[in-house]
Amino acid sequence: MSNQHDEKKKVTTQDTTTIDDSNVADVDPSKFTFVKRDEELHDEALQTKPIGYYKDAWIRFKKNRASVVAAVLISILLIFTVIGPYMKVYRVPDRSMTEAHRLRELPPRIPGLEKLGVFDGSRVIRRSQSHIDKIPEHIVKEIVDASGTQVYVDVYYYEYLNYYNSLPENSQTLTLSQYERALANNAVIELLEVTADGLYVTQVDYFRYSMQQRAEDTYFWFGTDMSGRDLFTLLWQGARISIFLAVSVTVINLVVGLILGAIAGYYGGTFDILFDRVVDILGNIPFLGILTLLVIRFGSSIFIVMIAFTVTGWLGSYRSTRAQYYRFKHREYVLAARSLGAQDGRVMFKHIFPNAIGTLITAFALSIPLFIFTESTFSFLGIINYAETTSIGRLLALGQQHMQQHYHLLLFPAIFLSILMLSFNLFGNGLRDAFNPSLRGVDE
Amino acid sequence: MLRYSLKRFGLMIVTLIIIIFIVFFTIKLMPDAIRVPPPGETDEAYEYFREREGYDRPIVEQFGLWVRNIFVYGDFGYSFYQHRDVIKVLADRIPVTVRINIIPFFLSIPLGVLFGVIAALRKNKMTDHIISVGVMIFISVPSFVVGVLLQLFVVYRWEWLQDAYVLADDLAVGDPTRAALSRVLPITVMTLGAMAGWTRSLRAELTEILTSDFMLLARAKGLKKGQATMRHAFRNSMVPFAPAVIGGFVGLLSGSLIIEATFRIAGVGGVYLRAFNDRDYPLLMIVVLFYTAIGLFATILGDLSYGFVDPRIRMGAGKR
Repeated sequence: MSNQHDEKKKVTTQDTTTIDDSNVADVDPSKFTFVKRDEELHDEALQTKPIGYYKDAWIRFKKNRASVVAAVLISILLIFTVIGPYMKVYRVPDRSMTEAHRLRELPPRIPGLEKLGVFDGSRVIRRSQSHIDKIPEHIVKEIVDASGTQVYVDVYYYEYLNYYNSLPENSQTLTLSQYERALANNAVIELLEVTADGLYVTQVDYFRYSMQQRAEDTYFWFGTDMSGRDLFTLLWQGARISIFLAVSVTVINLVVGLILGAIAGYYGGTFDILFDRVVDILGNIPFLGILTLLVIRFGSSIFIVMIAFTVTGWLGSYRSTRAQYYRFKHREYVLAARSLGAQDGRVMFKHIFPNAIGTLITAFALSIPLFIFTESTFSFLGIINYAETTSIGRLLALGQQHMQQHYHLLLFPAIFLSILMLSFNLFGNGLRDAFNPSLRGVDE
Repeated sequence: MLRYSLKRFGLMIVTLIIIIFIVFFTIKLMPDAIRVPPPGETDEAYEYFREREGYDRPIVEQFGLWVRNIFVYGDFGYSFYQHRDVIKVLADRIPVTVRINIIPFFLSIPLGVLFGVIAALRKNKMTDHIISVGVMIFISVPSFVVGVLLQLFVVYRWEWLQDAYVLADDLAVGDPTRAALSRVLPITVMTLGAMAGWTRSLRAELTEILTSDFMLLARAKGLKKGQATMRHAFRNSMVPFAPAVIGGFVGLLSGSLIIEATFRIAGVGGVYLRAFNDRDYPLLMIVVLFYTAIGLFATILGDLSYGFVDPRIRMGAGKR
C-alpha cells in the first residue's frame, strides 16, 4: 500500500518538474518580483483557546446539571459544618443539666415557616380535662380529640413547657417591697396576680431564667433532644466529625494505596507476589470483624475508628493503581523517557502518574459517600460510639427510639444524611463522567 | 475447569485458615478474654471448659485445642452468656435470617431486570430519567434510613401498619396475619435497595450492548427490535449479572446486619450485636468466621460461574 503511494508521488513530482522546466526557461528572469520580501512571515495566531485536561473535564462537568447542583449543595453543607455549631449560641447544657432538662423534647420551630403552621413548635399532648382547663388560652392551638377521659390537645409546646415547669406550686408570694427588690435585681419572675391584701403572687419564668428570653421568642430550628440539647447544633457537630473522618480516611487510603500500588505495579517481582498474598488475605477479612475487635480492645475514639477504616481501606486504591502502573509501564512513552535517562522515580510520578489522576480523583469523590455510609451504619448499630462527640448514626439511633413521640429527632438527621449521601454520589458520578468520558453511564 | 475450581477452593481454605488464626489470635489478646464466669454459670462447668479449651495455655496451643474440639466434640467454643455451644446459637438464627431475606431476593431480581430493561430501551427519555432518579435515591440513601423513615411515616404518622418492628416468633403464634404484616416494611426496604442495584447494573450493561455491532447486524437481518433485544442483547447482558445473583444467593445466609437491627429481627445480626455488647468472645469469633466464610464462598462461586454463564470466558491462565 505504502509503496504504491510512494511511486505515485514520485511520478507526479517528475511530471511537474518537467513542465516547470520548460515554462521557466522561456520567462525573462527580470519580470519576477519578490512577494512579501520585507515582511516577516509567521503562523497565524490560534483563534481558539487551548483546552487542557482539567479544562476539558470542567467543561464536561458543567454540562451535567445534577452534579453541579450536588456540588453547590455540598459546598453549602461544608460551610454549615464549619459555622453550624456556632450559629446558635446556646450554652445551657454546658452550664447545668437540670436547666437543660427543662428545655427537653422541644419540637422544631422555624421562623417564617411558623406562620404557615408547620414547624411552629406545637405538639399534641394527652392530658386530663381538668389539666387542660387550667392551661392559659393562648398556649392552646387546637383541641384535637376531647371525646375520651383523656383529651388530646395541640399546644404550643414551648409556652406549654414553660407553663408546666412553672406550675403554681412553684409560685411564691411576695410583699410589694420584696417584689420591687426582685424586679430591681433583674430576677426572672412573672407576676401572676395581686391579691386583695396587697401581696404579689409570682412565679419563675424558666425560659427567661435559662435562655434570657421569653418562650415566645425562642426558636429551636430542629427542636431539642431528650436532654435539652439543640438538635441543629448536634447535627452539624455530627456532620463535622463524619466529613472530617471521611476526608482524612480517604486521603490516607489513597496515598497508601497509591505508593504501594505504584511500587508493586511498576517493579513487580517478589514484592508484588508477596503483596498479592497479603492483599488477598486482608481483603477477605470482614470489615465488621476488624472494627469490632479494635473497638473492643481500644475503645471507639475517633483515632481508633480512623485506624479501623484504613487497615483494609487502602486495598481498593492499591488494586487500581497497581493495575494502572502494570498496564502503562511497557508503553512507548515510558521507553522514550527511559532512553532519555529518566530515573524510576521520574518515570513513575512524572510520566505514568498523570495517566492515573482522573481515576484517582473519581475514586476519591466516590469513596467519601461510601465512608459516610459505613460510618453512619456502624454508629447506628452502636459499634462506633465516639467518646468525644456525637455522630449522625447515633442521632438516628436515638431518633428511632423516640420516633413515636418526638418524630423530629428522627426526621432531621434522616433528611440530612439522605441529602449528604445523594449529593456526594451525584457529585462523584459527575466527576467520573467528566474525567473518564469512556466510562459514562457504566454504573450510573 | 475442574482443576481450576479445585485450585480456587484450595486457596480459599488456606485464606480462611489464615484469617481464622488472625482473628483467634487477636481475640485471645484481649485483656478481658479470660474472665471469671458470669453469674448463672457453675464453677464446675467453668473448670470443665477451662480445661477443654485450655484457657491457661499459650495461644498457639489454644488454637490447636480449638481445632481439635471442632473435630472431637463438633464444638466451636462455649458461650458463657448463652450457656450453649456457639455453633448452636448461630444455627438457631440462620433460618430466621434466610427466611426474611429470601423474599426480597426473589422479588428484587425480576423487578430489577424489568426496570433495567425498560430504562435501557428508553434511554434518555422520561421513563429512563424517572427510573434513574429512583435508582439513585435508593442506592445513595442508606437502607436503614429508608427503613426508619418508613417506620416513622407508615406506622406512626399515617398508621397504615400496626407494628414498626418484626414480631418475634413466639409472640406471633396466635396472629399470623399480624406477624406477616410486621414483615412488610423490612421486606420493602430490602427489595427497594436490592432492586436499585440490579436495575443499575443491568441498565449499564444493556445500554452498552444495545449499541454494539452485532445488534446492528441483528436488526439488519430483519429481527424486530424486541426480538433482537431479547435474543441477543438481553442474554449477553446476563454475563456479569448472573454471577452477581449467585453471589447474592450465598449472601442470603449472612443477611443484612443493619436491617436486622433496624427492624429487631432475631437473626444472625442479632447474635453478633449481642456478642459485641456482652463481650462474648467465642460467639464473636464464630460470627466473624461465619461472615468471612460466606464472603469468600460467595466471591468464589460468583467468579467460577462466569465460566458457566459465558463459555468464552476461560478460567485460569494454564494451557488449554
